[in-house]
Amino acid sequence: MNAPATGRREETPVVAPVLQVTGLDVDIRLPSAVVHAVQDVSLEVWAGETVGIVGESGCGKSTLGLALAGLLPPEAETRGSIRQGGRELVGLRERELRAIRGAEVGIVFQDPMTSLNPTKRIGPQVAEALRLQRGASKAAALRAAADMLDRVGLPRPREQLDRFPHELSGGMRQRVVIASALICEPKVLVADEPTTALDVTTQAQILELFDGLSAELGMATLLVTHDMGVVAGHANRVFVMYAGREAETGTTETIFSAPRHQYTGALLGSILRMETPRKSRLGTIPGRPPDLTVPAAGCPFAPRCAAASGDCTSQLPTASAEDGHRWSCYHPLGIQQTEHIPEAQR
Amino acid sequence: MNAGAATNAGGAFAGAGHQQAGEPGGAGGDAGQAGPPLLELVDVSKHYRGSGLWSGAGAPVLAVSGVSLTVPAGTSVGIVGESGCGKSTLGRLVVGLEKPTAGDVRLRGAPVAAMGRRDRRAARYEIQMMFQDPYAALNPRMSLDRIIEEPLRARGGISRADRRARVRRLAEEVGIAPGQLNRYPRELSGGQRQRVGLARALATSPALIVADEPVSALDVSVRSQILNLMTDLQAEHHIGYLMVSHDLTVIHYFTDQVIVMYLGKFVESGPPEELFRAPAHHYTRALIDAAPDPVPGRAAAATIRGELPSAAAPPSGCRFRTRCPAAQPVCAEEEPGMRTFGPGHQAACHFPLKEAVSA
Repeated sequence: MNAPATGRREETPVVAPVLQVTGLDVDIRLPSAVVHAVQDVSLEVWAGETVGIVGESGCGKSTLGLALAGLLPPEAETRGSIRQGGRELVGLRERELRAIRGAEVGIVFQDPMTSLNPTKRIGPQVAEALRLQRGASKAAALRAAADMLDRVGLPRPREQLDRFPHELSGGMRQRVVIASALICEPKVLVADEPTTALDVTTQAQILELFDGLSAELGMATLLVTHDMGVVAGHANRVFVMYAGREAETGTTETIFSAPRHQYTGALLGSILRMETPRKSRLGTIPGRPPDLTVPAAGCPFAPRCAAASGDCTSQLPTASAEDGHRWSCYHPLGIQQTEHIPEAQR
Repeated sequence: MNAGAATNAGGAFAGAGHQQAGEPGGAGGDAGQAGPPLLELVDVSKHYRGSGLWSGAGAPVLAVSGVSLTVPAGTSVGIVGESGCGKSTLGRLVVGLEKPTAGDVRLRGAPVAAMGRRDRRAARYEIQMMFQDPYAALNPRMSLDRIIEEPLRARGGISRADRRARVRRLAEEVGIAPGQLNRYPRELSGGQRQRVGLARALATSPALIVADEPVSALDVSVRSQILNLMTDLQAEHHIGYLMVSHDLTVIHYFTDQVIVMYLGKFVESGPPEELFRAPAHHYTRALIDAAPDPVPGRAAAATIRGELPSAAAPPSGCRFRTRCPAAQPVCAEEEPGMRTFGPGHQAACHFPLKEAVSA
């Protein structure tokens, strides 16, 4: 894979990340409250790399994915910056965003039926973006659609062009969605739990295809998922979110072998592996993620954290960094605790 | 432990007596005691009439084709396979949501189909079900206490006050605070809903719970909570589980006997350690290879491609041959029989990955 590692940036011809998020806040206005779904998120994604965005349900990872795809609902209020290919996405109108979606940014969601038009045949649906964005002729677009359906592993792609979504199995439908997302060879793919509803056999095929396109076309992928196994196998970097914020980010190697944030440690500790002794007591994280309508005073993970102390609840921890590895935790794992003096007491 | 046994044809008996559910019983199982196993499927088939859309000629779809298995009391048997392999249909046959086209479902040796109305009703309360999405299974207009109470009320023979007391005990057991019992399903998280689903399944003190993807929709942290809880309940009440899942790590961790299903048939079964460490069937190997492993850089391998063939027109001979890396002409001509590869370990393959033991 040709993903430029953070430390080797100068060796590659790439000068700017394909996606650069700086200080992003997303508030969702509900009739009774405001959900602070994404808070102060900064993230860079380089061509050809896959960034896994992980965390429990309700941690803001899907909202972040929607923001990056330019698909936030009208109730959402966005601050900060999302730069994609030298263009600022925050503040763009729906019309301008529509031109970017499909051509520059491909999007895949978990449930294929929400992305497919049930009344439209597969061929024209997959070909649509190519017709709209690239002005391809009908025949050429359909040919390209059949090719892409073949690449995503749909059996007998030419026959499928005339079918309707309901005639396909769930796994086949998801491949159609993926083909539609990839047909314009986007620079960025936002994939939110793209394979969660699929069998492991199909999942492995789809993820191999994503890896192939990253290597071949330099496509950058944001893989939003709760499956740490998928992230371990396919992401170059991991972005761990908690309560709408970055908890920790670093290379996949580092995050799995030397996590710093207590939340990352707890998350990794609760994964079931083939090596997990059968019927042994499993690690859990007590409680549940916080209500994002109520801003937390300290570290949002403190109420569930085994290592939490007084300073954790009083002030938000600031980020510490080391070789592209960044974490925001008062009690980082693997670091002598005595060296630490909390901000509040300094 | 003497866990279940499974085959495609004929009965398989892993003897285990029964202990009254609800009574404290050792988790060690009661293998060795005389008596029929808790649950037995004997040569069970389920055919659906072709709908016309997929199978124009109206050919019957063989969702489950002549399978046999046993679940001894207090043990867990897991069924894995891709969607469409018939594993969910099998679960529905066991809880009585579907009637078998052929063969017997037996509860402690007694065929459920031959039971009188009263016995069949009683049997229904002894086998309960846990679903993947408890939200879809819980009545949104009922408060939690009524949801948990409902099977008790339906069965009858217990006073309102006793029902209420039992609901509170069940809620406590699954970790639902008494103050939450007047809430509604929509106010709960996925993990809490699964706890309510479990409390409801437990209400009638079942001897067997069929769990269809019970933790697939949950976050990893909550997943381990629910699995810990299911393990505790098994130890305490001596419950048997038939767990249907596509997640091999969950099946490996939780069950005593694993059955691998492909297009309505069992292709391999065995104790989890052996089956996952050294499978005999190429399909089992492919499933293991495709399962994501949380080790950086170790990507799952797609060793088999394509879709499951239609169950209305399964391939001749070995059903897996169209996707099998080791298929030979004989695989199309002859259906492989079950062979033994170790204690409790069987597989049906002409060219197995390891040598069969001469039985």
